[in-house]
Amino acid sequence: MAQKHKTALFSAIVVVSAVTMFLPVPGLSPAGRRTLGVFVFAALCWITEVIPLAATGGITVGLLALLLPPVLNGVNVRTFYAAFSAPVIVLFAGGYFLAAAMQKYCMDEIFTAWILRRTGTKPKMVLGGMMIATAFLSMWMSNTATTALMIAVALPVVRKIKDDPFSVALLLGIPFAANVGGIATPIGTPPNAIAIEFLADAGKKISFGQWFMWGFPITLVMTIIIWYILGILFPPKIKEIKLETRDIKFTTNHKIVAITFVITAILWFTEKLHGVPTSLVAMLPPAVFLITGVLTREDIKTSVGWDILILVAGGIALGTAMKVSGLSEWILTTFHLKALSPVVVILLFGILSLALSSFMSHTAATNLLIPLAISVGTSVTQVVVMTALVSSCAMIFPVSTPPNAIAYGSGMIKSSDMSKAGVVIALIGFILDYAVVQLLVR
Amino acid sequence: MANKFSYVRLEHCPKCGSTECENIFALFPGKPVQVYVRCKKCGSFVARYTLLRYTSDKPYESLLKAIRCPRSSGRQMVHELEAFSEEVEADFKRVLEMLEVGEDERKIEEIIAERNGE
Ligand SMILES: [Zn+2]
Repeated sequence: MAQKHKTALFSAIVVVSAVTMFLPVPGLSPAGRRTLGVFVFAALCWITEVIPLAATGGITVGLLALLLPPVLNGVNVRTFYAAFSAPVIVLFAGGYFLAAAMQKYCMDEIFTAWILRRTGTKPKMVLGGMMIATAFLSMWMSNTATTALMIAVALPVVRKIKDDPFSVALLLGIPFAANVGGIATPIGTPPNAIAIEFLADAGKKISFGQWFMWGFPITLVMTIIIWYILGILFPPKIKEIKLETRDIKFTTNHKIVAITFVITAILWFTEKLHGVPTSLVAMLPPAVFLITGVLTREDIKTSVGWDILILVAGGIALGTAMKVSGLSEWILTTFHLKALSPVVVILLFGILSLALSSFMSHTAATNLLIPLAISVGTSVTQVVVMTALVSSCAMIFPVSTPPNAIAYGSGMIKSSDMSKAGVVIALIGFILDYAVVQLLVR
Repeated sequence: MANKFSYVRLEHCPKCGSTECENIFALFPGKPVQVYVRCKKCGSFVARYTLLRYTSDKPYESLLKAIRCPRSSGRQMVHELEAFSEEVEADFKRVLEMLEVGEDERKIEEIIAERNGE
Protein backbone atom coordinates (compact mmCIF):
# COMPACT_ATOMS: atom_id res chain seq x y z
CA MET A 1 0.00 0.00 0.00
CA ALA A 2 1.41 3.41 -0.97
CA GLN A 3 2.05 5.90 1.82
CA LYS A 4 -0.63 8.21 0.39
CA HIS A 5 -3.26 5.46 0.55
CA LYS A 6 -2.16 4.49 4.04
CA THR A 7 -2.57 8.04 5.30
CA ALA A 8 -6.03 8.26 3.73
CA LEU A 9 -7.09 4.92 5.18
CA PHE A 10 -5.77 5.76 8.63
CA SER A 11 -7.57 9.13 8.57
CA ALA A 12 -10.78 7.37 7.56
CA ILE A 13 -10.41 4.90 10.45
CA VAL A 14 -9.87 7.75 12.92
CA VAL A 15 -13.01 9.51 11.66
CA VAL A 16 -15.16 6.35 11.75
CA SER A 17 -13.98 5.54 15.30
CA ALA A 18 -14.60 9.09 16.50
CA VAL A 19 -18.06 9.12 14.98
CA THR A 20 -18.81 5.76 16.67
CA MET A 21 -18.03 7.34 20.04
CA PHE A 22 -20.68 10.00 19.51
CA LEU A 23 -23.41 7.69 18.19
CA PRO A 24 -26.41 7.78 20.53
CA VAL A 25 -26.45 4.00 21.03
CA PRO A 26 -29.50 3.17 23.18
CA GLY A 27 -28.68 1.50 26.51
CA LEU A 28 -24.96 2.20 26.28
CA SER A 29 -23.30 4.51 28.83
CA PRO A 30 -20.89 7.30 27.74
CA ALA A 31 -17.99 5.12 28.89
CA GLY A 32 -19.36 2.20 26.88
CA ARG A 33 -19.65 4.38 23.77
CA ARG A 34 -16.07 5.58 24.11
CA THR A 35 -14.89 1.99 24.55
CA LEU A 36 -16.88 0.95 21.48
CA GLY A 37 -15.12 3.72 19.50
CA VAL A 38 -11.69 2.51 20.63
CA PHE A 39 -12.70 -1.09 19.83
CA VAL A 40 -13.68 -0.06 16.30
CA PHE A 41 -10.37 1.79 15.92
CA ALA A 42 -8.33 -1.20 17.10
CA ALA A 43 -10.33 -3.65 14.99
CA LEU A 44 -9.96 -1.65 11.78
CA CYS A 45 -6.26 -0.96 12.36
CA TRP A 46 -5.49 -4.58 13.18
CA ILE A 47 -7.48 -5.92 10.23
CA THR A 48 -6.02 -3.50 7.67
CA GLU A 49 -2.54 -3.27 9.25
CA VAL A 50 -2.48 0.35 8.14
CA ILE A 51 -0.07 0.97 11.01
CA PRO A 52 2.12 -1.70 12.66
CA LEU A 53 0.16 -4.09 14.93
CA ALA A 54 2.12 -3.04 18.01
CA ALA A 55 1.45 0.65 17.30
CA THR A 56 -2.27 -0.10 17.38
CA GLY A 57 -1.77 -2.00 20.65
CA GLY A 58 0.04 0.92 22.26
CA ILE A 59 -2.40 3.53 20.98
CA THR A 60 -5.32 1.43 22.24
CA VAL A 61 -3.92 1.44 25.78
CA GLY A 62 -3.27 5.18 25.51
CA LEU A 63 -6.72 6.04 24.17
CA LEU A 64 -8.46 4.04 26.89
CA ALA A 65 -6.33 5.66 29.61
CA LEU A 66 -7.16 9.05 28.14
CA LEU A 67 -10.87 8.66 27.42
CA LEU A 68 -12.32 6.47 30.17
CA PRO A 69 -11.19 7.93 33.54
CA PRO A 70 -13.10 11.21 33.04
CA VAL A 71 -16.42 9.39 32.55
CA LEU A 72 -16.00 6.38 34.81
CA ASN A 73 -15.71 6.25 38.60
CA GLY A 74 -12.93 4.18 40.16
CA VAL A 75 -10.96 3.98 36.93
CA ASN A 76 -7.65 5.74 36.33
CA VAL A 77 -4.68 5.43 34.00
CA ARG A 78 -3.24 2.62 36.12
CA THR A 79 -6.29 0.48 35.29
CA PHE A 80 -5.07 0.34 31.69
CA TYR A 81 -1.30 0.54 32.19
CA ALA A 82 -1.74 -2.64 34.24
CA ALA A 83 -2.07 -4.46 30.91
CA PHE A 84 1.70 -4.09 30.42
CA SER A 85 2.38 -5.97 33.63
CA ALA A 86 -0.27 -8.66 33.19
CA PRO A 87 1.04 -12.13 34.13
CA VAL A 88 1.01 -13.27 30.48
CA ILE A 89 3.25 -10.38 29.48
CA VAL A 90 5.76 -11.39 32.16
CA LEU A 91 5.41 -15.04 31.12
CA PHE A 92 6.04 -14.22 27.47
CA ALA A 93 8.97 -11.92 28.20
CA GLY A 94 10.60 -14.71 30.22
CA GLY A 95 9.85 -17.17 27.43
CA TYR A 96 11.61 -14.89 24.93
CA PHE A 97 14.78 -14.97 27.05
CA LEU A 98 14.63 -18.75 27.12
CA ALA A 99 14.19 -18.88 23.34
CA ALA A 100 16.93 -16.30 22.80
CA ALA A 101 19.44 -18.44 24.68
CA MET A 102 18.33 -21.61 22.89
CA GLN A 103 18.88 -19.84 19.56
CA LYS A 104 22.17 -18.18 20.47
CA TYR A 105 23.73 -21.47 21.52
CA CYS A 106 22.07 -23.37 18.65
CA MET A 107 20.30 -25.72 21.07
CA ASP A 108 17.53 -25.80 18.47
CA GLU A 109 19.96 -27.08 15.86
CA ILE A 110 21.51 -29.59 18.24
CA PHE A 111 18.04 -30.95 18.96
CA THR A 112 17.15 -31.09 15.26
CA ALA A 113 20.36 -32.95 14.47
CA TRP A 114 19.59 -35.41 17.27
CA ILE A 115 16.13 -36.10 15.78
CA LEU A 116 17.40 -36.36 12.20
CA ARG A 117 20.05 -38.90 13.16
CA ARG A 118 17.15 -41.15 14.16
CA THR A 119 14.94 -40.78 11.11
CA GLY A 120 17.15 -42.40 8.47
CA THR A 121 17.11 -41.22 4.87
CA LYS A 122 13.67 -42.28 3.59
CA PRO A 123 12.05 -39.03 2.36
CA LYS A 124 8.83 -39.42 4.35
CA MET A 125 10.73 -40.31 7.50
CA VAL A 126 12.94 -37.24 7.09
CA LEU A 127 9.84 -35.08 6.63
CA GLY A 128 8.38 -36.62 9.77
CA GLY A 129 11.57 -35.94 11.70
CA MET A 130 11.70 -32.34 10.52
CA MET A 131 8.07 -31.81 11.49
CA ILE A 132 8.46 -33.37 14.95
CA ALA A 133 11.53 -31.21 15.62
CA THR A 134 9.71 -28.10 14.37
CA ALA A 135 6.56 -28.78 16.38
CA PHE A 136 8.52 -29.47 19.55
CA LEU A 137 10.71 -26.38 19.21
CA SER A 138 7.78 -24.10 18.49
CA MET A 139 6.13 -25.26 21.72
CA TRP A 140 8.86 -23.20 23.47
CA MET A 141 10.17 -20.79 20.87
CA SER A 142 8.35 -18.45 18.53
CA ASN A 143 6.81 -20.11 15.47
CA THR A 144 8.68 -17.62 13.28
CA ALA A 145 12.18 -18.27 14.57
CA THR A 146 11.62 -22.03 14.53
CA THR A 147 10.47 -21.94 10.91
CA ALA A 148 13.42 -19.78 9.82
CA LEU A 149 15.86 -22.23 11.38
CA MET A 150 14.23 -25.38 10.02
CA ILE A 151 13.83 -24.03 6.49
CA ALA A 152 17.50 -23.06 6.52
CA VAL A 153 18.29 -26.68 7.42
CA ALA A 154 15.99 -28.09 4.72
CA LEU A 155 16.86 -25.65 1.94
CA PRO A 156 20.02 -27.24 0.51
CA VAL A 157 18.09 -30.51 -0.05
CA VAL A 158 14.97 -28.71 -1.26
CA ARG A 159 17.05 -26.90 -3.92
CA LYS A 160 18.60 -30.18 -5.04
CA ILE A 161 15.23 -31.93 -5.49
CA LYS A 162 13.25 -28.90 -6.61
CA ASP A 163 11.61 -30.76 -9.51
CA ASP A 164 10.38 -33.47 -7.16
CA PRO A 165 6.88 -32.73 -5.78
CA PHE A 166 8.24 -33.76 -2.39
CA SER A 167 10.23 -30.52 -2.16
CA VAL A 168 6.85 -28.80 -1.64
CA ALA A 169 6.01 -31.23 1.16
CA LEU A 170 9.27 -30.33 2.93
CA LEU A 171 8.68 -26.60 2.53
CA LEU A 172 5.07 -26.80 3.73
CA GLY A 173 5.59 -29.33 6.51
CA ILE A 174 7.85 -26.96 8.42
CA PRO A 175 5.59 -23.88 8.71
CA PHE A 176 2.52 -26.06 9.28
CA ALA A 177 4.23 -27.99 12.08
CA ALA A 178 5.40 -24.68 13.59
CA ASN A 179 1.84 -23.33 13.53
CA VAL A 180 0.35 -26.37 15.28
CA GLY A 181 3.35 -26.74 17.59
CA GLY A 182 2.47 -23.39 19.11
CA ILE A 183 -0.84 -24.81 20.34
CA ALA A 184 0.71 -27.16 22.92
CA THR A 185 1.90 -24.77 25.65
CA PRO A 186 0.79 -21.41 27.07
CA ILE A 187 4.02 -19.85 25.77
CA GLY A 188 3.81 -21.56 22.37
CA THR A 189 1.96 -18.70 20.73
CA PRO A 190 0.35 -15.47 22.03
CA PRO A 191 -3.34 -16.46 21.53
CA ASN A 192 -2.97 -19.23 24.16
CA ALA A 193 -1.61 -16.75 26.68
CA ILE A 194 -4.32 -14.22 25.84
CA ALA A 195 -6.98 -16.87 26.45
CA ILE A 196 -5.43 -17.85 29.78
CA GLU A 197 -5.15 -14.21 30.88
CA PHE A 198 -8.79 -13.42 30.14
CA LEU A 199 -10.04 -16.60 31.79
CA ALA A 200 -7.95 -15.89 34.89
CA ASP A 201 -9.45 -12.42 35.02
CA ALA A 202 -12.91 -13.99 34.84
CA GLY A 203 -12.03 -16.23 37.81
CA LYS A 204 -11.11 -19.38 35.85
CA LYS A 205 -7.49 -20.30 36.50
CA ILE A 206 -5.79 -22.55 33.97
CA SER A 207 -2.39 -23.98 34.86
CA PHE A 208 0.45 -24.64 32.44
CA GLY A 209 -0.12 -28.38 32.79
CA GLN A 210 -3.85 -28.02 32.27
CA TRP A 211 -3.36 -26.14 28.99
CA PHE A 212 -0.81 -28.72 27.89
CA MET A 213 -3.35 -31.50 28.45
CA TRP A 214 -5.66 -29.77 25.94
CA GLY A 215 -3.09 -28.39 23.52
CA PHE A 216 -0.54 -31.17 23.26
CA PRO A 217 -2.93 -33.86 21.94
CA ILE A 218 -3.95 -31.41 19.21
CA THR A 219 -0.34 -30.64 18.32
CA LEU A 220 0.48 -34.35 18.20
CA VAL A 221 -2.51 -35.48 16.15
CA MET A 222 -2.32 -32.49 13.79
CA THR A 223 1.40 -33.03 13.15
CA ILE A 224 0.69 -36.65 12.17
CA ILE A 225 -2.29 -35.67 10.00
CA ILE A 226 -0.36 -32.90 8.24
CA TRP A 227 2.54 -35.29 7.63
CA TYR A 228 0.14 -37.83 6.15
CA ILE A 229 -1.68 -35.28 3.95
CA LEU A 230 1.54 -33.77 2.59
CA GLY A 231 2.82 -37.27 1.78
CA ILE A 232 -0.31 -37.92 -0.30
CA LEU A 233 -0.49 -34.52 -2.00
CA PHE A 234 3.22 -34.30 -2.80
CA PRO A 235 4.57 -37.89 -2.95
CA PRO A 236 8.35 -38.30 -3.26
CA LYS A 237 9.91 -39.61 -6.49
CA ILE A 238 13.33 -39.58 -4.95
CA LYS A 239 14.27 -42.64 -2.85
CA GLU A 240 16.66 -41.09 -0.36
CA ILE A 241 17.45 -37.68 1.09
CA LYS A 242 20.04 -36.57 3.57
CA LEU A 243 19.86 -33.34 5.50
CA GLU A 244 23.18 -32.00 6.71
CA THR A 245 23.42 -30.58 10.21
CA ARG A 246 26.41 -28.96 11.84
CA ASP A 247 28.32 -30.54 14.68
CA ILE A 248 28.15 -28.10 17.55
CA LYS A 249 30.47 -28.36 20.55
CA PHE A 250 28.74 -28.46 23.91
CA THR A 251 30.23 -25.76 26.18
CA THR A 252 29.53 -24.65 29.75
CA ASN A 253 27.06 -22.05 28.43
CA HIS A 254 25.23 -24.81 26.56
CA LYS A 255 24.90 -26.68 29.84
CA ILE A 256 23.57 -23.59 31.61
CA VAL A 257 20.94 -23.12 28.91
CA ALA A 258 19.92 -26.79 28.92
CA ILE A 259 19.66 -27.02 32.71
CA THR A 260 17.74 -23.73 32.97
CA PHE A 261 15.34 -24.92 30.29
CA VAL A 262 14.68 -28.22 32.04
CA ILE A 263 14.22 -26.63 35.48
CA THR A 264 11.93 -23.91 34.11
CA ALA A 265 9.80 -26.46 32.25
CA ILE A 266 9.56 -28.72 35.32
CA LEU A 267 8.52 -25.76 37.50
CA TRP A 268 5.92 -24.78 34.92
CA PHE A 269 4.39 -28.24 34.90
CA THR A 270 4.41 -28.66 38.68
CA GLU A 271 2.76 -25.40 39.72
CA LYS A 272 0.15 -27.34 41.70
CA LEU A 273 2.90 -28.83 43.91
CA HIS A 274 4.88 -25.68 44.75
CA GLY A 275 2.35 -22.92 44.09
CA VAL A 276 4.78 -20.56 42.33
CA PRO A 277 2.83 -18.94 39.48
CA THR A 278 3.88 -19.67 35.88
CA SER A 279 4.71 -16.03 35.24
CA LEU A 280 7.01 -15.89 38.25
CA VAL A 281 8.82 -19.04 37.13
CA ALA A 282 9.34 -17.30 33.77
CA MET A 283 11.63 -14.81 35.51
CA LEU A 284 14.14 -17.59 36.16
CA PRO A 285 15.67 -17.71 32.65
CA PRO A 286 16.31 -13.93 32.41
CA ALA A 287 17.88 -13.97 35.89
CA VAL A 288 20.15 -16.94 35.19
CA PHE A 289 21.17 -15.84 31.70
CA LEU A 290 21.94 -12.26 32.67
CA ILE A 291 23.89 -13.19 35.81
CA THR A 292 26.00 -15.77 33.98
CA GLY A 293 26.50 -13.64 30.89
CA VAL A 294 24.89 -16.30 28.70
CA LEU A 295 22.84 -13.49 27.15
CA THR A 296 24.07 -9.95 26.56
CA ARG A 297 22.35 -6.62 25.96
CA GLU A 298 22.70 -7.15 22.22
CA ASP A 299 20.92 -10.54 22.37
CA ILE A 300 18.04 -9.06 24.32
CA LYS A 301 17.68 -6.27 21.80
CA THR A 302 17.43 -8.62 18.84
CA SER A 303 15.62 -11.64 20.23
CA VAL A 304 12.84 -10.38 22.48
CA GLY A 305 9.53 -9.66 20.76
CA TRP A 306 8.84 -6.32 22.47
CA ASP A 307 6.37 -5.37 19.77
CA ILE A 308 4.35 -8.53 20.39
CA LEU A 309 4.21 -7.77 24.12
CA ILE A 310 2.78 -4.31 23.33
CA LEU A 311 0.32 -5.84 20.86
CA VAL A 312 -0.92 -8.32 23.48
CA ALA A 313 -1.13 -5.58 26.13
CA GLY A 314 -3.41 -3.64 23.78
CA GLY A 315 -5.83 -6.56 23.70
CA ILE A 316 -5.76 -6.97 27.48
CA ALA A 317 -6.47 -3.28 28.05
CA LEU A 318 -9.32 -3.48 25.56
CA GLY A 319 -10.81 -6.40 27.49
CA THR A 320 -10.53 -4.53 30.79
CA ALA A 321 -12.22 -1.50 29.27
CA MET A 322 -15.07 -3.56 27.84
CA LYS A 323 -15.73 -5.03 31.25
CA VAL A 324 -15.54 -1.87 33.37
CA SER A 325 -17.36 0.35 30.88
CA GLY A 326 -20.33 -2.00 30.59
CA LEU A 327 -19.78 -2.61 26.87
CA SER A 328 -19.51 -6.37 27.45
CA GLU A 329 -22.77 -6.45 29.37
CA TRP A 330 -24.42 -4.35 26.65
CA ILE A 331 -23.29 -6.71 23.86
CA LEU A 332 -24.57 -9.68 25.86
CA THR A 333 -28.05 -8.28 26.42
CA THR A 334 -28.44 -6.50 23.08
CA PHE A 335 -27.58 -9.51 20.94
CA HIS A 336 -29.32 -12.03 23.21
CA LEU A 337 -26.18 -14.17 23.27
CA LYS A 338 -27.29 -15.84 26.50
CA ALA A 339 -30.28 -17.31 24.67
CA LEU A 340 -28.03 -19.15 22.20
CA SER A 341 -27.04 -22.74 22.86
CA PRO A 342 -23.40 -23.18 23.95
CA VAL A 343 -22.67 -25.35 20.91
CA VAL A 344 -23.77 -22.57 18.56
CA VAL A 345 -21.65 -19.99 20.38
CA ILE A 346 -18.55 -22.22 20.41
CA LEU A 347 -18.89 -22.93 16.70
CA LEU A 348 -19.62 -19.28 15.92
CA PHE A 349 -16.46 -18.06 17.64
CA GLY A 350 -14.47 -20.90 16.08
CA ILE A 351 -15.61 -19.86 12.61
CA LEU A 352 -14.90 -16.17 13.28
CA SER A 353 -11.46 -17.04 14.62
CA LEU A 354 -10.63 -19.20 11.60
CA ALA A 355 -11.89 -16.60 9.14
CA LEU A 356 -10.08 -13.64 10.73
CA SER A 357 -6.83 -15.51 11.45
CA SER A 358 -6.63 -16.67 7.84
CA PHE A 359 -5.88 -13.19 6.60
CA MET A 360 -4.76 -11.25 9.66
CA SER A 361 -2.40 -11.80 12.58
CA HIS A 362 -3.86 -14.52 14.83
CA THR A 363 -2.66 -12.57 17.86
CA ALA A 364 -4.57 -9.48 16.77
CA ALA A 365 -7.61 -11.62 15.87
CA THR A 366 -7.74 -13.18 19.34
CA ASN A 367 -7.16 -9.73 20.86
CA LEU A 368 -10.49 -8.75 19.31
CA LEU A 369 -12.45 -11.98 19.67
CA ILE A 370 -11.56 -13.13 23.19
CA PRO A 371 -12.85 -9.99 24.96
CA LEU A 372 -16.10 -10.61 23.05
CA ALA A 373 -16.07 -14.33 23.85
CA ILE A 374 -15.59 -13.57 27.54
CA SER A 375 -18.76 -11.46 27.43
CA VAL A 376 -20.91 -14.31 26.17
CA GLY A 377 -21.67 -15.63 29.63
CA THR A 378 -22.34 -19.26 28.78
CA SER A 379 -19.61 -21.91 28.59
CA VAL A 380 -17.07 -19.08 28.65
CA THR A 381 -14.04 -21.33 29.09
CA GLN A 382 -14.97 -23.50 26.13
CA VAL A 383 -15.71 -20.53 23.87
CA VAL A 384 -12.45 -18.76 24.76
CA VAL A 385 -10.29 -21.87 24.41
CA MET A 386 -11.93 -22.75 21.08
CA THR A 387 -11.20 -19.22 19.78
CA ALA A 388 -7.52 -19.49 20.74
CA LEU A 389 -7.02 -23.05 19.46
CA VAL A 390 -8.66 -22.44 16.09
CA SER A 391 -6.61 -19.27 15.50
CA SER A 392 -3.49 -21.45 15.26
CA CYS A 393 -5.09 -23.74 12.67
CA ALA A 394 -5.58 -20.99 10.09
CA MET A 395 -2.76 -21.51 7.59
CA ILE A 396 -4.39 -21.24 4.19
CA PHE A 397 -2.54 -18.27 2.66
CA PRO A 398 1.05 -17.01 2.76
CA VAL A 399 -0.15 -14.04 4.82
CA SER A 400 -2.03 -16.26 7.32
CA THR A 401 1.01 -16.70 9.58
CA PRO A 402 4.65 -15.54 9.58
CA PRO A 403 5.82 -19.18 9.17
CA ASN A 404 3.68 -19.52 6.02
CA ALA A 405 5.15 -16.25 4.74
CA ILE A 406 8.70 -17.50 5.29
CA ALA A 407 8.07 -20.73 3.38
CA TYR A 408 6.37 -18.85 0.56
CA GLY A 409 9.27 -16.39 0.45
CA SER A 410 11.54 -19.20 -0.81
CA GLY A 411 9.87 -18.75 -4.19
CA MET A 412 9.73 -22.51 -4.56
CA ILE A 413 6.12 -23.15 -3.63
CA LYS A 414 2.95 -21.90 -5.23
CA SER A 415 0.39 -20.17 -3.08
CA SER A 416 -2.19 -22.61 -4.52
CA ASP A 417 -0.18 -25.56 -3.13
CA MET A 418 -0.25 -23.94 0.27
CA SER A 419 -4.00 -23.31 0.08
CA LYS A 420 -4.74 -26.83 -1.19
CA ALA A 421 -3.13 -28.38 1.88
CA GLY A 422 -4.04 -25.48 4.19
CA VAL A 423 -7.80 -25.74 3.65
CA VAL A 424 -7.88 -29.45 4.46
CA ILE A 425 -5.69 -28.90 7.54
CA ALA A 426 -7.78 -25.97 8.76
CA LEU A 427 -10.98 -28.02 8.51
CA ILE A 428 -9.52 -31.03 10.28
CA GLY A 429 -7.97 -28.74 12.88
CA PHE A 430 -11.31 -27.06 13.48
CA ILE A 431 -13.06 -30.40 14.07
CA LEU A 432 -10.29 -31.64 16.34
CA ASP A 433 -10.29 -28.39 18.35
CA TYR A 434 -14.04 -28.67 18.76
CA ALA A 435 -13.73 -32.27 19.94
CA VAL A 436 -11.09 -31.34 22.53
CA VAL A 437 -13.15 -28.38 23.73
CA GLN A 438 -16.25 -30.55 24.09
CA LEU A 439 -14.55 -33.55 25.67
CA LEU A 440 -11.79 -32.07 27.82
CA VAL A 441 -12.46 -28.39 28.51
CA ARG A 442 -14.81 -27.64 31.41
CA MET B 1 19.62 9.14 1.25
CA ALA B 2 20.54 12.32 -0.57
CA ASN B 3 22.13 11.74 -3.95
CA LYS B 4 25.17 13.94 -3.30
CA PHE B 5 26.22 11.55 -0.56
CA SER B 6 26.13 8.45 -2.78
CA TYR B 7 29.58 7.33 -3.85
CA VAL B 8 31.09 4.25 -5.40
CA ARG B 9 34.77 3.45 -5.56
CA LEU B 10 36.76 0.34 -6.37
CA GLU B 11 39.27 -0.76 -3.77
CA HIS B 12 42.79 0.24 -4.94
CA CYS B 13 46.08 -1.20 -3.70
CA PRO B 14 47.97 1.54 -1.82
CA LYS B 15 51.31 0.20 -3.14
CA CYS B 16 50.75 -0.58 -6.80
CA GLY B 17 47.34 0.94 -7.43
CA SER B 18 45.87 -2.32 -8.75
CA THR B 19 42.15 -2.91 -8.38
CA GLU B 20 42.53 -6.67 -8.40
CA CYS B 21 41.95 -7.74 -4.81
CA GLU B 22 41.25 -10.87 -2.81
CA ASN B 23 38.83 -10.92 0.10
CA ILE B 24 39.91 -13.12 2.97
CA PHE B 25 37.13 -13.94 5.39
CA ALA B 26 38.37 -14.37 8.98
CA LEU B 27 36.56 -15.37 12.15
CA PHE B 28 38.32 -15.55 15.53
CA PRO B 29 36.62 -16.46 18.80
CA GLY B 30 35.24 -13.44 20.64
CA LYS B 31 35.87 -11.09 17.69
CA PRO B 32 33.47 -9.80 15.07
CA VAL B 33 33.69 -11.25 11.57
CA GLN B 34 36.38 -9.48 9.55
CA VAL B 35 37.36 -9.44 5.92
CA TYR B 36 41.00 -8.76 5.01
CA VAL B 37 41.65 -7.44 1.55
CA ARG B 38 44.92 -8.37 -0.15
CA CYS B 39 46.31 -7.05 -3.42
CA LYS B 40 46.34 -9.87 -5.95
CA LYS B 41 49.23 -8.31 -7.89
CA CYS B 42 51.76 -7.46 -5.17
CA GLY B 43 50.32 -9.17 -2.11
CA SER B 44 50.12 -5.98 0.00
CA PHE B 45 47.59 -5.42 2.74
CA VAL B 46 44.91 -3.19 1.28
CA ALA B 47 42.17 -2.89 3.89
CA ARG B 48 40.20 -4.64 6.61
CA TYR B 49 36.40 -4.57 6.80
CA THR B 50 34.43 -5.39 9.93
CA LEU B 51 31.22 -7.14 9.01
CA LEU B 52 27.81 -5.98 10.17
CA ARG B 53 25.75 -8.44 8.13
CA TYR B 54 26.56 -10.88 5.37
CA THR B 55 24.31 -11.27 2.35
CA SER B 56 25.16 -13.95 -0.18
CA ASP B 57 23.93 -14.35 -3.73
CA LYS B 58 21.03 -16.15 -2.08
CA PRO B 59 19.44 -13.31 -0.11
CA TYR B 60 16.62 -15.57 1.09
CA GLU B 61 19.11 -17.72 3.01
CA SER B 62 20.71 -14.61 4.44
CA LEU B 63 17.38 -13.36 5.70
CA LEU B 64 16.49 -16.74 7.23
CA LYS B 65 19.66 -16.50 9.32
CA ALA B 66 18.75 -12.97 10.37
CA ILE B 67 15.23 -13.82 11.59
CA ARG B 68 15.72 -14.10 15.32
CA CYS B 69 12.91 -12.01 16.63
CA PRO B 70 9.36 -13.40 16.76
CA ARG B 71 6.85 -11.81 14.36
CA SER B 72 3.12 -11.49 14.63
CA SER B 73 2.09 -10.43 11.15
CA GLY B 74 2.21 -12.74 8.14
CA ARG B 75 1.49 -9.82 5.83
CA GLN B 76 4.43 -7.84 7.20
CA MET B 77 6.65 -10.90 6.85
CA VAL B 78 5.70 -11.33 3.18
CA HIS B 79 6.58 -7.68 2.50
CA GLU B 80 9.84 -7.98 4.39
CA LEU B 81 10.93 -11.00 2.36
CA GLU B 82 9.97 -9.46 -0.98
CA ALA B 83 11.59 -6.14 -0.12
CA PHE B 84 14.82 -7.79 0.99
CA SER B 85 15.52 -9.77 -2.20
CA GLU B 86 14.51 -6.88 -4.41
CA GLU B 87 16.56 -4.42 -2.42
CA VAL B 88 19.76 -6.43 -2.76
CA GLU B 89 19.30 -6.87 -6.50
CA ALA B 90 18.29 -3.28 -7.13
CA ASP B 91 21.13 -1.82 -5.09
CA PHE B 92 23.70 -4.00 -6.82
CA LYS B 93 22.41 -2.86 -10.21
CA ARG B 94 22.57 0.75 -9.11
CA VAL B 95 26.15 0.39 -7.87
CA LEU B 96 27.24 -1.07 -11.22
CA GLU B 97 25.51 1.74 -13.08
CA MET B 98 27.27 4.35 -10.94
CA LEU B 99 30.59 2.61 -11.55
CA GLU B 100 29.98 2.86 -15.32
CA VAL B 101 29.61 6.61 -14.96
CA GLY B 102 32.84 6.85 -12.99
CA GLU B 103 34.18 6.11 -9.54
CA ASP B 104 34.98 8.67 -6.87
CA GLU B 105 38.62 9.78 -7.06
CA ARG B 106 39.23 10.16 -3.32
CA LYS B 107 40.55 7.51 -0.96
CA ILE B 108 37.89 5.33 0.66
CA GLU B 109 38.73 6.59 4.18
CA GLU B 110 38.15 10.16 3.00
CA ILE B 111 34.75 9.26 1.63
CA ILE B 112 33.81 7.47 4.87
CA ALA B 113 35.07 10.41 6.95
CA GLU B 114 32.86 12.79 4.98
CA ARG B 115 29.91 10.44 5.44
CA ASN B 116 30.48 10.33 9.21
CA GLY B 117 30.59 14.11 9.42
CA GLU B 118 27.36 14.41 7.45
ZN1 LIG C 1 49.44 -4.07 -5.02
